[in-house]
Amino acid sequence: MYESVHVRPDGESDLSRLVETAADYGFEGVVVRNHSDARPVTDLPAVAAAADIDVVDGVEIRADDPHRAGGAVGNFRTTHTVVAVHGGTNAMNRFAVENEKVDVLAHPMTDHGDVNHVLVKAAADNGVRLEFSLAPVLRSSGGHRVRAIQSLRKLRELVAYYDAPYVVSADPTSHFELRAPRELCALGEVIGFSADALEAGLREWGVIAERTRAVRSDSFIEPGVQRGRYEEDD
Amino acid sequence: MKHLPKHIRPRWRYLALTLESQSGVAIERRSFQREVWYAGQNLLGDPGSADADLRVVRFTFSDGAGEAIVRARHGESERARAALACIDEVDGAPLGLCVRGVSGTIRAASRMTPERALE
Repeated sequence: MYESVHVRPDGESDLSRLVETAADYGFEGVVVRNHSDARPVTDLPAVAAAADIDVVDGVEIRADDPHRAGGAVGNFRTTHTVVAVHGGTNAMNRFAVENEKVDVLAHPMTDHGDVNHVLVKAAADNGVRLEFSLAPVLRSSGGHRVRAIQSLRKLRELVAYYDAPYVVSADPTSHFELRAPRELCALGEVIGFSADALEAGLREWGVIAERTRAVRSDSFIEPGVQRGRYEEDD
Repeated sequence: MKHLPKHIRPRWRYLALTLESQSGVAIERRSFQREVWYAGQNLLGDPGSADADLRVVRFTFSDGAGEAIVRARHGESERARAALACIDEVDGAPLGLCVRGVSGTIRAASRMTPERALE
């Protein structure tokens, strides 16, 4: 299972510290998803080489409008393994689910963002994963948390109906905010998820990374074409 | 009041936790217990937290790291785990927390944490 994290300067912990804690808590990998305007993660290759778990370079594109995000998606797609879009406004949510190059629409329901059947269907068609962010459930209280749980329920019902792909994350910004997979599953069960569905959502980050790496590898030619045996010329 | 005969006493599960905060921070047992109760009540509601009956039974914390054992009713340990996951700070200090194991006795639970500070 994978967790997606924000590291310094986007978050408050260093990458090595977060990776160490994630390994200790039983995660198989970490996706670094710093926002596009808080990038510098210079030590990623070094930390990835030294770590016991998989460290994936990702990005969460934060832009004011879809036009600017469009350029950023094109740029980051060629260099980063996981490309997410910072959701939360209707315009950005729609942009992300309609763009095949995007892997993940991050926290579509935060602030005043919303999704409906049209967006979820588009996400399913384009293979864009919708993120269930447990951050407000873990780290807020009162009415804000109630609304967050309500919106997770709405998203869950739509995702289940249209069989759309999804990921789950606690979206930690420091190693203190990290929670072990088993804790997240227990929390998910309390707010209405099945433990299996939640686990699948945590695994999906790894599936994205694996797929992007396979597509980038030298042995990949194009979808549906495989290298195999061929007849020798005499 | 006379204590209950053994076969109708409540059965408990003990959750062994490791705690982590910023270096130099000292968290008190009383503050942690209060956060455990709040977390239970906020996530599970009054009836749920009454069922889970969360109580800190062992606690040690110094210089940004610690261990604790939290008691929950038998059959409520997963809900207790969920409630504990929602504790994000104690007295304004951020708190990292991980359940290292669940056991039927305090003695066995105290052996589940890596530092074994509660043994």
